Amino acid sequence: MLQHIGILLGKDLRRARRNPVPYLIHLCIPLVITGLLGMVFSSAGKGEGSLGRIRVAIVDEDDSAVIRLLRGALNQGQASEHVEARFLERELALREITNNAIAAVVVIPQGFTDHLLDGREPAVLELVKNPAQAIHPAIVEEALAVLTTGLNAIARNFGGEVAAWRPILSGERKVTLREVGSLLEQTGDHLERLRKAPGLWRVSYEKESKPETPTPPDNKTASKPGVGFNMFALLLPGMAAMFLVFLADVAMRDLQREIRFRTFHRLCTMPAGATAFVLAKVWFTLAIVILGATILMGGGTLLFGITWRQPWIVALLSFAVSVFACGFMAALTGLIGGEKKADVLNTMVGMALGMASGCTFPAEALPDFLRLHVTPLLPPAWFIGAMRHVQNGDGTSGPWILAAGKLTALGIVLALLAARLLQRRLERGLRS
Amino acid sequence: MLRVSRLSKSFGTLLAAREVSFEVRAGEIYGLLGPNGAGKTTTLSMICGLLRPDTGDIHVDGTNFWSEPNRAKRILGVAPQDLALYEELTGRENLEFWGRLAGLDRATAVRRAGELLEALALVERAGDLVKNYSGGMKRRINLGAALMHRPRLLLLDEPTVGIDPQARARVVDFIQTLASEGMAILYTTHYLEEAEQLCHRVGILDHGKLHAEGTVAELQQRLGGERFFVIEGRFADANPASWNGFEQRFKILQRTDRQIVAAAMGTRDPSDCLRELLALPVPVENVTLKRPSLNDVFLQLTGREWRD
Repeated sequence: MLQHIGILLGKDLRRARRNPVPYLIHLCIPLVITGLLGMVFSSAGKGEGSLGRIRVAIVDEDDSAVIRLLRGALNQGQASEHVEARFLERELALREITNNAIAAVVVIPQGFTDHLLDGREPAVLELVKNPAQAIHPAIVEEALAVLTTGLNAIARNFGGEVAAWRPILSGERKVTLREVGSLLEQTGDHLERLRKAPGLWRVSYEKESKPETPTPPDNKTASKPGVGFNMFALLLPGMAAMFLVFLADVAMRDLQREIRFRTFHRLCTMPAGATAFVLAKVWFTLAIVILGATILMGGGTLLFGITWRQPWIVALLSFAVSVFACGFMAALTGLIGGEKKADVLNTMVGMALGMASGCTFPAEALPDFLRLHVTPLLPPAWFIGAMRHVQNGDGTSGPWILAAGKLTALGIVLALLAARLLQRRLERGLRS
Repeated sequence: MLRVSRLSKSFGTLLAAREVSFEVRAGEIYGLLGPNGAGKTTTLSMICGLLRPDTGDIHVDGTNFWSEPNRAKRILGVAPQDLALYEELTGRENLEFWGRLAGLDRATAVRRAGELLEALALVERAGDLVKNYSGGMKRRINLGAALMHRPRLLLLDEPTVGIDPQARARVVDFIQTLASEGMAILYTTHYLEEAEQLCHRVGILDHGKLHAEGTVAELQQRLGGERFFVIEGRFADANPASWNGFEQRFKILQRTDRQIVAAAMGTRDPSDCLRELLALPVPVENVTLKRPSLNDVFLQLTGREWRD
């Protein structure tokens, strides 16, 4: 069996090498689209792939000590390289959106800090996005998710300490150095306990999310600035995920072409049989998709100057999404059967999967129902989320290991299912 | 080498093969003849394991096919009617691929491909992609792919369809050579002349039923002799039964308003038969003496012309 699979695989790879056009098209399109989108959205930036500064207005209706700290942080250091935050009155800020002068307005409502620290009711930030812009408002939304998650974590884990610090920071009353020292020691002890037992961290985002300004579930952890933001690195994983599915479709469709050209029937008159044929086709598809993933990610590096922060993890995730794409399209081919039906349905299903997963638009721009209930269940969205985490995240390995594991496992299950389905169909006399 | 017994296969309400039985011996070319849609490919597909028969048995080299399908498949070589080749591979690569899949090691596959390319007169174009081949060259590679593992039983489904006469003659010559080397060949075709020239025995298949089998001479004999007469005239209102002793001396094979085809019964001299026909009580415009063809046999067995 293995020898037959090897012979069949060698034949398919040789044929693909002789006629690479269909595969090349599906490799070029995502690079071209990524290039075009990247150039359009980075035209205001500093250089190739750069995002430019995001202009945001902050309406501070709370005017608390915590917000004053935030105000200071935003206008310092690396944050000021990426964000141009101005504190304005609500009316003036909304006018700036109308004039397309800013990407979004973040409103900190009155009592925000009290709600956050008391924990009795949800602390809600208000976000008004500029509908005339696509990427910057989405980034602000993501950043807001990170911010609220961070604040939430502080409030939940340091509730007692923060309550004690609050009158000191706000200057409500005078304190002695002894009191400050005692409070520092108390806070330090708490931090130390949390550091030793990470399970005690109680971080979640749900409490603060509100329907008007939800944030993607993949970005719950705080991000830190990467090695320079590159717009292409944001776009390419999504494009790659979708077009790897299409590439798998092209490769898997070869199975139906072999039925049409009757080479499959001739093969069935030989001892090798249908099982080896189907398994060889799955391996062929996997080989093509992995090659495609390598070209897309490597091409991204060369063409767009993307610096992958953790190349090996990117490679592993690319492998995982390749396994998924292969299994998914194999299963679809097994379910759909006929070539003519597959011509129509495979492309539509692949495109729908890509769009609903946030491959073409940022997931944040999708309708609420899709974004909240469907997208998180879709494997390409796992890949995109994990890639973003790797590129912008805090270096924790949990999210990408989970995504890679789920993608690989699902791909293998689907491929096995497809092999069974196709074998049964072929043995029953499938006609294309 | 091949024994097919009471093979039947239906697709829904269509009975594609009805209790078909025949044998093919080593060194014999057995022609399975029939017009398009007669059930030839269905029968062949059952023999090579692509379709499972509803009833009946297939024995290859004495063993039931379905009890040991892989053993039977190693003995079989199949050249399907459709050109089952990879157009992106060269002729040589195609042969080597199918040979390796049939169980040859790499070195043997390379050597056998070289031998076959020479035998099929394709050495000069062996390195060209199959998509650049002519129809006749593709047919030859299609045949060669079935021969790589030196099968003892060769199934050829319309191997000369769609190619020019010169290429057809080359293929036919090659097949004769194979049979002379002891290979059993089951050959389906709807070219009657080709079957007459090539096949040692033929079976005539129509609507899934094997109507008759035997050598071409035996089948011709069934028509009542080695030759028959084509009588042309005006027969619209004629009643042959009223012609004095006609039906005792001649067997009418076909009749139209303008023509009667009749075989002489008994062993009379053709010139005597001719005189009797010219003396018929109807205006006869022409009488032609003709050797019976397989088309005439088919006409007699099925009551319709081959191309109907």
